[in-house]
Amino acid sequence: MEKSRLAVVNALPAPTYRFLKVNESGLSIPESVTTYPDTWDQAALPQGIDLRRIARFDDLPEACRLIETGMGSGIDRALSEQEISCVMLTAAKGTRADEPIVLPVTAACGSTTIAEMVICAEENSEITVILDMTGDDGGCAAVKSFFGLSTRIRAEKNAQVRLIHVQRFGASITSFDDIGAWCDERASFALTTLLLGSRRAARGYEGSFIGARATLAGEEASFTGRTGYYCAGQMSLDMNFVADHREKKTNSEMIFRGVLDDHAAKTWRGTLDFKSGAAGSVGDEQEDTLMLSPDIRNSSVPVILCGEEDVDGRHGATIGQISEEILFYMRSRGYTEEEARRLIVQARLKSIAREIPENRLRWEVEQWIEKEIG
Amino acid sequence: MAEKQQVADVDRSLYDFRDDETGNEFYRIEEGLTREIVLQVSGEKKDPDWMREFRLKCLDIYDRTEMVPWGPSIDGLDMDRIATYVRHKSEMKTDWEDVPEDIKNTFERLGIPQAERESLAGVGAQYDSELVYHNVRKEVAAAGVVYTDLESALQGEYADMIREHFMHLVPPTDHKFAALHGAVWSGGSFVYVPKGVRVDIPLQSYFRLNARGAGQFEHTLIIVDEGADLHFIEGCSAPKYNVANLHAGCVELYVKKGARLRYSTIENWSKNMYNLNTKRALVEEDGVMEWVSGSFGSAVSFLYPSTILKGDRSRMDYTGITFAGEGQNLDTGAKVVMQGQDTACVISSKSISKSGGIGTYRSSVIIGKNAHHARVSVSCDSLMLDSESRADTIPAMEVLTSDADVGHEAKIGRISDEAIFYLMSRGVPEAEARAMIVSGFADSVSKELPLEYAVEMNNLIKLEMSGG
Repeated sequence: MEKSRLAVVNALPAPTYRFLKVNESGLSIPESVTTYPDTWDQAALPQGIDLRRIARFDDLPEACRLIETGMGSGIDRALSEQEISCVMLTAAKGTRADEPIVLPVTAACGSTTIAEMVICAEENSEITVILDMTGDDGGCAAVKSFFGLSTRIRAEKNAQVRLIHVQRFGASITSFDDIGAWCDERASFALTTLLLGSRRAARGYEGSFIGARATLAGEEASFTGRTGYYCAGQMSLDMNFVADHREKKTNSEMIFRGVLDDHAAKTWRGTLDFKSGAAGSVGDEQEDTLMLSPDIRNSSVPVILCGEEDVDGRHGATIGQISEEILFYMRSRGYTEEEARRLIVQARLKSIAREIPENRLRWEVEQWIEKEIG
Repeated sequence: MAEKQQVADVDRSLYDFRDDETGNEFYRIEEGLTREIVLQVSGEKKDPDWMREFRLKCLDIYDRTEMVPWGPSIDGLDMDRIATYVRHKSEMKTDWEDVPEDIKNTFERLGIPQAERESLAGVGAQYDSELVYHNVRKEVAAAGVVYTDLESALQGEYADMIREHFMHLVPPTDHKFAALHGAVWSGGSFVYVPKGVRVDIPLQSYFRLNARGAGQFEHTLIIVDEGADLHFIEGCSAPKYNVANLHAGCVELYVKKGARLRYSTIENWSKNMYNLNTKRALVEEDGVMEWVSGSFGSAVSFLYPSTILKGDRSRMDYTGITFAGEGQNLDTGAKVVMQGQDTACVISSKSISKSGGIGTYRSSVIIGKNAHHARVSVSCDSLMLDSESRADTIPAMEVLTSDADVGHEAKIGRISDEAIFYLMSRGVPEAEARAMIVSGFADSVSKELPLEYAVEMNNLIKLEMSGG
């Protein structure tokens, strides 16, 4: 039997009642995990962007290694112990990369790999990175697969980093996507995550885990997050997003739009954390979950922590079915109920897919949504 | 820049007086929690055998149960320094004139007899571990309403009913302090409202903990039978000491088919109090449970009235406000489990934090697999009055059916400059404008209370504004 180590991940920044089972989750990380193949090392890069590989997690510069992530230190231990090498992308001072860097990932059936990346945006630079994660579908039902992705971002003064993660594995394989960002003065980090699940579950599927944390450490730093997900079949999605406001006039806005179908389960934790000293800061998180099947399970934990008087923190959540009014309206326009439902579900995911800044990939994803979902 | 207006702490001088316990009028069990002490309490209460055994079982559970790993620290609470049973040697009276002078004065100062005369259908007054006065209006008693102390009920014609319901909603395994309560409970009230009876004016129990370094563990058991209606008010206060006091009461409420129960609490324990109270309601078909909760006192509070909406079309409303001032860490909120079909729940919570106070709103909403068409609306607003304080909101929702409709919103912020500016542009001075806004913030709770209690609450949050 394959050996694995249980990592505590996605811990809620402020724990609550234990019976809810949302304070943290456990993820078994195989001990045989290897670094994702180094195809990225040959990626075409815009001018001013440098790519190099760092042999071990522990060799990363401290300023990057110590950036806190959404899933937490349990992932770091695995990276450190299993000697996963890291790709480090650096946007030199003042660089404005016109084109996004698209890095493809294929999670092959039966593989157990982790990809690790650090994006360092120096002062006044701009960089956009897209991780396009796909995988085999049919064959994965019979073999156990594991894929992990760790991304750390350091955005220096006035830098802008845009990160897009698109996951369409075709089969539900056990996976994690761990993100941590540090934003200095007036730096911004924009994250788009689109997880398009599948009814086809791989053998030994334990769940899909996503965690993201943005530390707004400089004045007027900002974080925007857009997350879309479609969970079907036996999928289990476990999320933890944190906007950590440490300085004055920092801004965060997180939007989550998702669909749960079949026997899918989802746990979402979203935290706005206003530390003392974050005067003038604004944070907003909105969650919108559509439930399509009577057998789903949805857990939502929207947290606001506040140690500063002069802030504006808001949270809103809507969890329910497609409203009868909208269905009625669409049927009055000639759609059948089934067509109307399909269009509404697809529109919800396409609204996040529209954030993909690369035309071809955006088109592909929209096609995928139309073909696979609904 | 204009000097910031100051909002005063809650004025507790009205409640901060004490009776001397050194005379012969008081009986106190030694501090700590042992099998012998539990048996001693049981002996004092003249428990039936089953209750004595139950207490011992609870002690065992208490010893085996860990404190929860979340919420405020209770490191300052040492059970070896808490006397679990203190009573005045006087027996319980049903005529106010028979109550001993010192105790009578205490409750007179708190306005209880006056409230009884003017606006209550019945009153129970507990002083330390025992009730000292219990009375119910003749016409209410004539309608079949039972309002008595729990010990009497345990011995009399309602003994079977008590045994059937006592700590069934809140089992001792629920948490450590539920087990503690089961081991050393004393005092509290039993209310039974028969089928179809509407009690038009409220009943009230008032709990006063006078003793230093003591605990109060009253148990309130209310059964509102089919189609009946009741408003029950609970008030509590204590003088301040420099040692920890403990309140670990338990409230169990049964709302039968088509019945309605409103349970209002104005809690103003002193700032040395650890308030670890447990309240739970079970609501049957078409039943309505309404919680109105004002938490102003105590050093540490863990308080989450919880409701099980078991019956179809049952409903729960929670309206609460928490004011956390200097030295206070108040962790409050609500819990609901929705099991029946077409159930509904509305939670509205407000909190104010100032002078280093910590106010946490914590809740859980669980919608079961068969709770089809459940509707939930949760809103929590927190007002920060300075940056030394904290306001956290930690709500959780679990939905196990697709046809539920859940809406949640939370907001944290300070008094809006725009609102002040608007009021000032209408001729209201700045200090008054701030006071109006803070009073308005608490208005959703005070308007749910009978007038006399709304006035008391407004006095309690006497928000004094000083000039710039």
